Amino acid sequence: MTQHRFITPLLTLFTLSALIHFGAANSAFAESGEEHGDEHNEHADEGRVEIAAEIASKAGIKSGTARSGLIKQAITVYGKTVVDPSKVSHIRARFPGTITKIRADIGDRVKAGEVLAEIESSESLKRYTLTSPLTGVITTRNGNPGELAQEQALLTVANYDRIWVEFRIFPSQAQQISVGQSVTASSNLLQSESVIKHLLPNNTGQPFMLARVPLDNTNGQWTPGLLLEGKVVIKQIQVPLVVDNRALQSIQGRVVVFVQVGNSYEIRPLELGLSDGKFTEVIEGLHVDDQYVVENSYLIKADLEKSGASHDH
Amino acid sequence: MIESILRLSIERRWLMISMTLILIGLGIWSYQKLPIDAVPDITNVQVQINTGAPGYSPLEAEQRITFPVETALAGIPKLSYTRSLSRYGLSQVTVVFEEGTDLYFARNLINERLGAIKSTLPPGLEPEMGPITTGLGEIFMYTVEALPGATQADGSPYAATALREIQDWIIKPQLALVPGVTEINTIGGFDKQYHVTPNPRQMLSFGVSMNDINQALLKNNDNRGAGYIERNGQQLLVRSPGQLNTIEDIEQVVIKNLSDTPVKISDVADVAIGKELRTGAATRNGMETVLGGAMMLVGENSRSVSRAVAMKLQQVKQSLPKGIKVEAVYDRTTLVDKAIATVQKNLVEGALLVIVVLFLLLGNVRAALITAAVIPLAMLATITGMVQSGVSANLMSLGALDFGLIVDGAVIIVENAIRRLAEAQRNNGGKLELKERLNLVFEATNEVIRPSLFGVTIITVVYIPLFSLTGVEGKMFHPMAATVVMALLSALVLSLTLVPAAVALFMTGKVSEKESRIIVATKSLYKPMLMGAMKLRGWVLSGALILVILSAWLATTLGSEFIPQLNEEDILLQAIRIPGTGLEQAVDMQILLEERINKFPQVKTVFSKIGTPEIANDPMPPNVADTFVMLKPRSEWPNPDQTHTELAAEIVEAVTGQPGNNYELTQPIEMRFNELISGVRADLGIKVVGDNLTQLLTSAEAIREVIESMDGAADIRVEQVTGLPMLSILPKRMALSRYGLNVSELQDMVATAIGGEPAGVIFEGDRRFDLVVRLPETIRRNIEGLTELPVPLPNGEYVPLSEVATLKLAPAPNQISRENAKRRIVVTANVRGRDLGSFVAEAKERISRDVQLPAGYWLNYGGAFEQLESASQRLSIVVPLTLALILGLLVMAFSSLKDALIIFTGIPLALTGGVIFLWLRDMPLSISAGVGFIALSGVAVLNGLVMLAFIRDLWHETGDLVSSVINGAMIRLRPVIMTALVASLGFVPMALNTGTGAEVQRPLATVVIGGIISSTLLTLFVLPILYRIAHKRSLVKT
Repeated sequence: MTQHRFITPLLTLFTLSALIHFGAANSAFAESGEEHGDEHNEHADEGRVEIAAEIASKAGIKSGTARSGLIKQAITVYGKTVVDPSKVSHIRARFPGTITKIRADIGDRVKAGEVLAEIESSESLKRYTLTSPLTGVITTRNGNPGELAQEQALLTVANYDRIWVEFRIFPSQAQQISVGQSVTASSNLLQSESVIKHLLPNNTGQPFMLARVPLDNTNGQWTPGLLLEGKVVIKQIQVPLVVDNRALQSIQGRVVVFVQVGNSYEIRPLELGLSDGKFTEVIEGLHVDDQYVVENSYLIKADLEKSGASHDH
Repeated sequence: MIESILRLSIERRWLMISMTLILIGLGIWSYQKLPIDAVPDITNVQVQINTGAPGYSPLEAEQRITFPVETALAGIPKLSYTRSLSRYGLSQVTVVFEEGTDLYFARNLINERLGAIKSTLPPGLEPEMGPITTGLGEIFMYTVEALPGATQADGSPYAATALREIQDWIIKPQLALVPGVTEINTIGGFDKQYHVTPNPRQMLSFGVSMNDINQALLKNNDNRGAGYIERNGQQLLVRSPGQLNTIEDIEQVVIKNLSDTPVKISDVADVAIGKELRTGAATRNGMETVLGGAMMLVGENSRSVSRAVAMKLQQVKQSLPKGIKVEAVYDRTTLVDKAIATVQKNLVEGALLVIVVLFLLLGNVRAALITAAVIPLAMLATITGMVQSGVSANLMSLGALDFGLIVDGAVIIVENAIRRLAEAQRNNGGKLELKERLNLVFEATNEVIRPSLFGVTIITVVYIPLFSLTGVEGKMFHPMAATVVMALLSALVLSLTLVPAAVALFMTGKVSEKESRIIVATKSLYKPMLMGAMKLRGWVLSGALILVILSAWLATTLGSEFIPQLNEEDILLQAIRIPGTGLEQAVDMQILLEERINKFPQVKTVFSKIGTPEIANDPMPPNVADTFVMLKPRSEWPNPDQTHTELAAEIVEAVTGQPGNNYELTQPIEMRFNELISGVRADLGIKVVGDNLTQLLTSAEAIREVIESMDGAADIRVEQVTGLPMLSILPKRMALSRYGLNVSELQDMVATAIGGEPAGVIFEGDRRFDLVVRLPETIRRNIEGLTELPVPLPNGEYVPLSEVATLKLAPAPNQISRENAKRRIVVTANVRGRDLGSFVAEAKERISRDVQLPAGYWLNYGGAFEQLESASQRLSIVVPLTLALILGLLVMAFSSLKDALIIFTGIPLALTGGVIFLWLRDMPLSISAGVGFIALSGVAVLNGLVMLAFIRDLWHETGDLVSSVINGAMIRLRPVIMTALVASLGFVPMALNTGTGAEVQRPLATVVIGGIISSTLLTLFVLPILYRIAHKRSLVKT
C-alpha cells in the first residue's frame, strides 16, 4: 500500500491537469464557423443544380427556347450634317449693273427657273433677269434695288431636301465599315434611316475617315451643322442558333448557359460566334429547342459556385 | 495578529455593527454604478482606421491608402500588431495595442501619425478612426419605414432615398446626443444626391466636356459675404447669395457660350435626384429599409445606454413626418435583463436554499440568521469591489458565485461558538456573564478560525490558475475568478469581524444545541456503513480507484467546447453568396430569403444588413448579408417546447432551397465575438507573406496540397482573395499621344463618366447633398457601348474610347489582406483525431521540405494552436504549482506530508462525480466546466481537512487509531454534510435553471454538485480508511 501514497497524488495531479488542459484544448475545436465552406451542396456536383419550380418562379428564373435568330451588329459613330454641295447655288450677276428688282427674300422657297432678280447691265444698260438654278430656299441676300451688283453673290439658294451626314470613322472602326451599310442616324428627337454612300479619307490631316450618308430632308427636319449619332449595321446575318445575352454567365473563365430540364439546371459551356448587344450566335454547346435560363441566370451561377463562397473576416 | 483582530471585533462589537452599516451603504451605492451586461466584453485594445475611397478598387485602395497608413503606424509605442483590409472603396487598418493600453492614449498617437501623412494620401481622402466603441458596442438597432400609403409633401411615396434622408437629418442628430452613445451608424437606403447626367451626343454637339460641366457647376454655386456698410449710423451687412437650391436652378447654369448662345446644363444633361453608388443595403420582412444602429461608448453600461436610446427614440417619433414608422428591432436591454434575471434568480434561490439548510442543521434561529447575514453582506462588498476594479456584472463574472462556499467559514465559526456556549451554559446552569460570554466567543472563534481561514485560502488559491489565462479566455474568466476571490475574501473578513461580534452581541439568551433529526438519522445510518467499509477496505479502495480511472476515461469521451454558447434567443443567419455578386442582386436574393423566414410563426421580425454600413465597423462585401431573425416569446410559438436549435435547424432547412445562398448560423453577439477574435480562427493558420498576389496564391495552393496529404487535416482552406470580376480600361499610350491626351485625362473622363465626380454641394437648410456629374444609368450599364463613348480632345474634337483604350473584363483580387504591413494569404486547417502539436510540427517540416518559396517570401505560423500552446505551457506550470501550494498549506497545517497527501486524494475522488454528472446530463467539457472542477478541488480539500483534523486530534488524545477514526468521522459528519449541502444546494438553482443565459452557468454548477456528492461520500468512507491504513504502520512502529 506504500505506493498508494504516491500514486494517488500523482493521479490527482494528472487528472486535474488533464481536465484543465481539456478545458483549454476546447478552444481548438471551438465551433469553427468556417466549416460552412465544406458544406457541399449535395446537388451542386458536376455542374447541375436542382431548384424547385415554385422557388424558381419566385426568384424570377425564366427560361427561353434556343432557336435561330438574327444577329445585327452595329457600331456607334458621330458626325455633323452638311449640305449637299451640289444643291447650293450662289447666284451672281453676270454683268455688273444696278439691281432693279429682287423678288426673293431670305426664307422664300423658289423653284428652278423662277426669276429671282432683275439687273440693269452697266455696259449695255439692258435689263436681264437672274433665275434660280434649283428648287430650294433662299438663304442669303446681299443686295437691294438700286444697289450695284458686282462680283458678290446676290442670293444663295440651297436645297435641303437631301442632306448629308459625315460620320467620323476612326481607325479602330474603319475595318468594319464599308459603303452600302445601313445607318440609323439620330439626334435628340429625330431619327432617320439611310445607307453609307461614300467612304473617303478626310483632308484635314486627322486620322479618321468620313462616311457620307445622305438623309432625306424633304420635310426640313434636319439642319446643317447638327451633330448626329449613327448606328451603322456592320453585320446582319441569320444564324441557326442564338442565345439571349442575359443568359450568358462566365464560370471558371468559360462562357456558359444553363439548360433547364424539369427542375434541374445544367451547365453548358458554349463556343460563341458573332454577337450584337442582345443576342449571340452559338457555334457549339447548345441545340435548337433546348430550354435555357434567360432571366436571373446569375442565381444559377451563384448556386453552383456557392460551395466555395465564404466570408473571411 | 488574528487574535488581536478577533479581540478588537468582540470588544468593539458595536463599532463592527456600524461598520457593517457603512458597508451596506457603500454596497448599495456601488450597485447603482455597477456596469451590467450579458457577457464580458472580450474586445482587445484596438483602433480601426477607415478610409472611404469612393471608386477605388482593392488594388488602388491598398497602394494609395492602406500602405501609407500602415507605414505611418510603424513604431507606435505599445503596438501589438496591425492588420488591414483593402476592398472596393474602403481601406481599413486595424491597429491592435498591447493589453492594458489606454484607448484614448492609443487614439491620440494614431491621430498624430495620421496628421503627418495627410499630404501623401490622394486628395480628398480622409482616414478616420472608428467610433470609440467595442465589438459589442452595437446595442440598439431600429428601422425607418413608411406606412403603406404614406406620401411625401409632394405626393410621391417614400422611397429608400427619402427614408435615408429622414434617418440622416432627423433621427440621427437626436440619437447621437444620448449620453453613452458614441456614434449612430446607418445602413440601407440611398444617400440623396443631385445627379447631372449629360448625354454624350449632346455634349459633342455643343462641344462641351465633362470637365466643362463640372467647372461650371463648381463656379456657380456659392454664397459670399461682403462685409458691411455703415449708412446714417446704421450697419448693413452685405452678402451675395449664389447657391443653387433646386433642380431648376441647376438646369439654368450656363456652361459656355456658343456663338453668343448660352449652353445651359439643361441643354446637355438631365438633372434629377439620384442614387449614390452605395456599398450597403438593409431589408426588413422582405422590403428595403433603412437601418440605424446606436454604438455605445467604451466602458458604458449597455443596459442603461440602450434604455436611454429607446426612450429618446420615443421622443424622436414626434418629430417625424406623418406616415413614417421608426421601430426598434434589436435592443440589448432585452437580453441583458433576461440574463441578469437568470443570474439573480439563481443567486437568490441559492441563497434561500443555503439559509434553509443552515436553519435546519444549526437548529438555532439567531445563529442561522447571523450566518445567513454574511451572504448579502459579502455580496455587497463584492459589488463594491467589482465597481472599483471595473468588473461588470454578467453571466460569467457572477456565474461561479456559490453562497454555500462563501458562508463556509462563518458556518464553522458559528457552529463552534454555539456548541461552546451551549456547553458553558450547561456547566454554569443558565446564563453567562457578559464578560464570560465575550471571552467564550473569542475562544470558540479562535479555536476554529485557523482551519476556516485555511479552507477559504485554499479555495481562493485554486482560482489562481484562472488568472494565468490570457487573451480571450483570460478576458472571459478573469472577472469570474476575481469576483469569486473578492466574495471569498470579503466573507473571510466578515467572519473575522462581524460574525464574532454578532455572536457576542446577539447570542444572549439560552443557547440550545440539539442535533437536528436529520443529523441524528444520518449518523445512525453512517455508523454501520462506515464500520462495514472499514472491514471491506480493500474493496472500497479498489472500487474508488476504478471509479477514478473510469471517470478519467469518461472524461475523454465527453465532447468539448470552448465556452457553452449563450443562447441569445435571436438567430443570426449569415447568407453568403459568391464574390462579385452585385448589391442589388444580393438585395433581391435577401428579400426572397426574408419572405420565406417570415412565414415561420415563431418569427417576430426579420431584418438584414447587406454589405458595409456607413461607418465600416463591420466591412462585409456586398455578397454577405447578416440576417437577424428576431423571435417571438416562447409562449406564442405553436410548440413552446421546441428548442432554439431545432427552430434554427428548421429555418436553415427551409431556406436551403433558395438558390445561390450559403448559410452560417450564429447569433448576434456570438458573431461579433467571432469577428473580433478573428485573425485566424482555425487550429492552424499558415500565413504566406510576400509582395506578389499571384505568387502568394500559388504558394498558398502548394501549401494546401501538402497539408491535404497529411493525416488528421480537415477543413483546409485558402483565403478567398480573388474572384471579383473587374472591367479594366487600359490606356493605349501611343494612340493617346496621337490625339494629344494624357493618361490622367482619360482616367478622369472614365472616372467621371462611370463613377461620377462631385461638383459641389446643394444645401437644403441644414441638410447638404452632393451634386454629382456622371453618365446616365442606361449608358453606364451598357459595357459594349462604353467602347464607343466619345472622349473629348483638347481641340474640341473627340475620339471614341476604343480608339485610345482597351476594355478588358477579368477577375481581380476582391480583397487584399495585410498583416504588419505586408501582404499575406492564409491557409487554414483544423486538426481532427490527432494531437495538434505533432501535426503542427509535421506540417512545418513537410512544408519547408516540399514548398519552395521565392526570395522575399516567408511563412508565419499562427492560429489556435498558438494560444493552445501558450495556455498549455502556462497551465502545465501553474496547475502543478497551485497543487503544490495547496499541498504546502496542508503540510503546514498538519506538519505531515502523509496527512496532506491523504487529503489530496479527495480531489480525484471529487472529480469523478463531476465527470459522471456531466456525462449524465450530456454536457461537453468546457472551460466553464473546468472552472467547476477547480472550485470542486477546493471544496474537496476543505472536506478532507475538516475530517482529518478532527480524527488526528482524537487519535492523539486517545491513542486508539481505529476508534479515533470512526468516532472522529462520526463527530465531523455534521460539518462535512453541512458544508457539502450548502455548497451543492447553493448551485442547484443554477444547474436547473432554463432561463436566458443559464446554459453558460449550467456546466459549472453541474460539475460542482456532482463532485460534491461524490467527494462527500468518498470523504466519509475512503478518507477514514486511507487514514487508518496510512497510520497503521506508524502505530506499529511506535
